[in-house]
Amino acid sequence: MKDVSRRTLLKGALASCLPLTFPSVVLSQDRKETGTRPRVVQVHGAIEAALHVLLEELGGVGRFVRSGDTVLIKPNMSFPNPSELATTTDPGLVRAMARHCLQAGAKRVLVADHTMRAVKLCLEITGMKEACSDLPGVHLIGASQEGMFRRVALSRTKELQAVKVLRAALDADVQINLPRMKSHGATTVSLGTKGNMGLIWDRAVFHSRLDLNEAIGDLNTLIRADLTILDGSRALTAGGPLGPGPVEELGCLIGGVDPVAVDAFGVQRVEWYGKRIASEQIPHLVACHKRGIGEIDLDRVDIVSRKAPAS
Amino acid sequence: MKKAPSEQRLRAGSRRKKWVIQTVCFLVFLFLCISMQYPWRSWIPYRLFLDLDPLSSLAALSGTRQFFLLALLMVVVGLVWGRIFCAYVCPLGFCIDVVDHGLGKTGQRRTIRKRPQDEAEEGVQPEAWPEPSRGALASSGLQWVLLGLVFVGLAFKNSLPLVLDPIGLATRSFSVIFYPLGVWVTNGTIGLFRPLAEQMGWYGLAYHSLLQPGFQAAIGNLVLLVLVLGLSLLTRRFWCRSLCPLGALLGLLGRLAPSRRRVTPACTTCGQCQAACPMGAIEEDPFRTRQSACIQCRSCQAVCPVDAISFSLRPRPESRYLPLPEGLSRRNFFFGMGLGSMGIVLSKLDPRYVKKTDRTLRPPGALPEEDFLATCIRCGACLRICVTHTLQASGMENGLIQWGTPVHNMRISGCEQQCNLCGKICPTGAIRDLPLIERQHAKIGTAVIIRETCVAWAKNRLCLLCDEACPYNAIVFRPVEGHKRPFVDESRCNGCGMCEAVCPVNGEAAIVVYPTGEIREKEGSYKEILNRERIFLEPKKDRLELPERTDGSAVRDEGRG
Repeated sequence: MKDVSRRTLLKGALASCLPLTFPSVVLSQDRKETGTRPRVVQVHGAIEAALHVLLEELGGVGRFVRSGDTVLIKPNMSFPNPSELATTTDPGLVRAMARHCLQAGAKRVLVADHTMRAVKLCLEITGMKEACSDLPGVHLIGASQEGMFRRVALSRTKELQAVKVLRAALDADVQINLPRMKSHGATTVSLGTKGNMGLIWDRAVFHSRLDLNEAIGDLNTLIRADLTILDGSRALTAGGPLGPGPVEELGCLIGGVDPVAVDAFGVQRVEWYGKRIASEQIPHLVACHKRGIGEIDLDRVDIVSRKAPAS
Repeated sequence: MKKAPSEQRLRAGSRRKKWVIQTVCFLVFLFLCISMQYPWRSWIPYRLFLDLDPLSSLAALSGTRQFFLLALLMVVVGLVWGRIFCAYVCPLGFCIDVVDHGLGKTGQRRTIRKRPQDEAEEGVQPEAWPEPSRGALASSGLQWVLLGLVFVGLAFKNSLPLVLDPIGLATRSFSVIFYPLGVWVTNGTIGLFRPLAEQMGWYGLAYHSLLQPGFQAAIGNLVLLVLVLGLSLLTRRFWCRSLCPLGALLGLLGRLAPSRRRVTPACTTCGQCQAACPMGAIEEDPFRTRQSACIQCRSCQAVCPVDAISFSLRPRPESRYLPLPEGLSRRNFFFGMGLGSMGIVLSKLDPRYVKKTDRTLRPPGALPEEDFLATCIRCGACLRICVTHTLQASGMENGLIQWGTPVHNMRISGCEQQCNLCGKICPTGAIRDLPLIERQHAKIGTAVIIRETCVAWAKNRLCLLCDEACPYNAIVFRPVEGHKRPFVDESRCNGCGMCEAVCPVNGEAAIVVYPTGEIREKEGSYKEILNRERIFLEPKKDRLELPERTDGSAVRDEGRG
């Protein structure tokens, strides 16, 4: 080994610290919002075309996924229901997103959810297995064992002190959240921020020991998707999360980098349980907003509406 | 004692052939047991061994299954070749052979006298061979007692004695003992290598998981299995020769079978065949064979130094044989029948059935309880295939009469709405083979909320886990005293128990499924019955009526846009 003088060593150490002095610059240029106002894009049309337009509007998939990245896609695939029931994400959307990631050079794409019901049935009946089986580099993960999760302690949170998070989610370079737009008996709606509960092991304590809404807020300080796209091809407007319930055919995708802004727009997009609800009336969104995760006030959000060309 | 080398090879070869056939049959059995899982594949004959069993087919007569061709085939084979099944096919027989081999047990050479013709040549008046010995435990005819028990059980509509049926015993042992152990080892191994697999990018392996089953009746079954196998300490194949009811039945069928052991006068009465016979089927007189014990394994033929033994099909048996199967006496048979009748009458007087305090929940599509207990052979195939492992083998806690039958433990998991595999796998039709929409209407019971312990009722928590889990939308929330509180809509509750499984209250859940309102029908449509009772378990939009694949398993709608 070559001798290294003290001076060279110090120089090298200093030089390697240089990027650390500009973290805001480095981050803001790719994965975070560029402007001060978050942007939410709504695209109507067939899923694949709509996703294409949506990603273009957000600056292209290359803004999120870099060559060699491990991407984690988190759809709803918790129940053994076909996508038509609007309780799980459309497998076509997951497939299209995975292909975009692969085209952007992702090393691998992990499609993961902690299913509530029997894993095999969920993967089969939601159609995820079929949608992902022929894509090389795409792995379908139905997390069902405690060993697949890693305990993470949270500091500076009131409600949630520690949580077991899916190892693959902690290790991934990029997280893309693809929730189905659906209602939820306990939290009124289940969109991106609530969907992050699909990446943790011990969910029951959220309901029994903790304040559910505050705990979701705390969880979102730990798990923050780089990109959230609501599957609004259909929305389950009541009877969620498992259904069956009334399904509204919206035929749109709603996406953005700010998860709270995306959720807030999703809340206003349809009538839940037969009535209009403001995003400020959704306690877990308020909890997320208060923790600085995103913008809940849609007046401070740039909303872009597009129509995908019919193929 | 000297044999030509080629002859020795030949003989070793014939013994090896038996081991090969046995091993192949056992591996097929294992494969079928392991593959009993979602998704259902119509090309796998999951029930092959169970369908072969004439005793389970007898039990199935009081069920709904109408397919007995394989059992008939077994009967024909039994009529022609006697107990050949025991030697080559029976999975339990294979295990017992392996144990025997491990224990190094050999039989006893009983013949120490000269051949009758040699004695005659020497001018000695040949004595008659002694009569077959009776009285020893191995030849006391216990199997006839057990067979009598089985028959009286079937006549009294109770299949409990079939817990001793060897195929059911082997299948159940796999389901409740070896499969859970196998999953434990597999998952543990994957867990150890998960960090490495993640590093290598083998995510399929790193996140491959099997649902870990566990059975409350596992230890009881283990004790039974160890007893059955441990009997080999007494003598080789003790179980097969003295206890096995299926072996007894086949022995009875094969009493006049044309295929039998024949001994030519070349026999030197050296007694080696007696030592080789795993069943003790060769009498003191080596010319005589206990046909009801002989499993036609040809071990005797392989060791005979003068090639005096042959097995062949001839219309008329020419060698001497015992007219009645060993130990089969009126006394034994009636003893078994008497004992069985007493047991069954006593268990039917059990207050749990008389006073209806029985709280067991049966899988959807289970026959009415009386028919169910008559039909269920306790083979445990449903326990194995259950996707959520909610199905448990009943132990003694529900009474001896229910031992080994499938019951739900909703605390482990609920019964999966999109799964109807227990009915598909059931070899006797004790659980009906229902299409999914019918299965969803086969009401298991009704959930009841216990308000004193429910955290939404007693502690005003925003706990809606039961609602989140209910696939039938049977949990409704109404504001009471300013708080959202859960109620069960009985007209929508299937009793699937998903709510009970997720309830966060420790110990007894705060929402419990009772068998109240269960629908158990031997025939007809559950859907029609429920709709007549104004219970509607199908979703309003008819969206849960998934189309069925040709093989009947659930599949999502293909017509998505």
